[in-house]
Amino acid sequence: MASAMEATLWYLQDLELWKTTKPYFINVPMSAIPPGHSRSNEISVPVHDVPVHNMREEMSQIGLDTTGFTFRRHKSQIPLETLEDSPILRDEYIPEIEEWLRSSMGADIVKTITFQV
Amino acid sequence: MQCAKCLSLSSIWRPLFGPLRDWPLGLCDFSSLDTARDLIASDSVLPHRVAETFNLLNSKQHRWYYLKDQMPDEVLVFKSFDSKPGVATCEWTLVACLYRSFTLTKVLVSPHAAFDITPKLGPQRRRESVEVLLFVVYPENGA
Repeated sequence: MASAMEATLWYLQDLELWKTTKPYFINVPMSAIPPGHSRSNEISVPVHDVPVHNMREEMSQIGLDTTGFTFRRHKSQIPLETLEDSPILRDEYIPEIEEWLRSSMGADIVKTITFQV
Repeated sequence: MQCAKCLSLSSIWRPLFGPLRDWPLGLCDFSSLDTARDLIASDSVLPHRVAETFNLLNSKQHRWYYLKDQMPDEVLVFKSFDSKPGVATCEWTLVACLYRSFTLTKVLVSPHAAFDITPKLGPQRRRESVEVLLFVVYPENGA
């Protein structure tokens, strides 16, 4: 594939440890972690030269029910550079996305849980 | 068991400018996962609750994708969970625990990761993106 590329991806290290110990990550600032303690017990390892395929060239391979993802065309009416302003994101962009999903998927209920710029 | 209504947990992701060349979003093909082996449930501890996500063990079987030169009017839609029969079991009880727990044996997940392509392309404008995570209730024969 012409535009497939190779990337370094980080995976959890495959250890016997995970059969008896659950990985955790504590989402608080480092300053809130007592000295000598760690925010996480996860051990990640890089895997190099992983092929990453271009979706555009393999449209027939992807889908929400098979790969679990797809891409769609959606032109937002909200100037995207304004989305760093959270009221605009919350009050304009989110309702627009919810309405688009409702109509494009024939969904009955669409409810935003969280968002992030 | 059949369900007339299905529930998915879906994300909508787009760059704020394009074409995106810095840290595009990589998505792993769900059908290339061995869910019993590859997914390790992990605690994500927040001040007000403990959430759960999956960490991923490496496998040569994994098939990763990205959207080359993604533009702002192109959105990636990816699922973290789906109750639709055939892609997952229909268990409405999951609704109650979704906020806390993704430790389900038959969920449809799309592990995702960003990766750096700048070494090959040279310096690029830093990525800016927006992601919205939503519950979607839809008819089984729809979507």
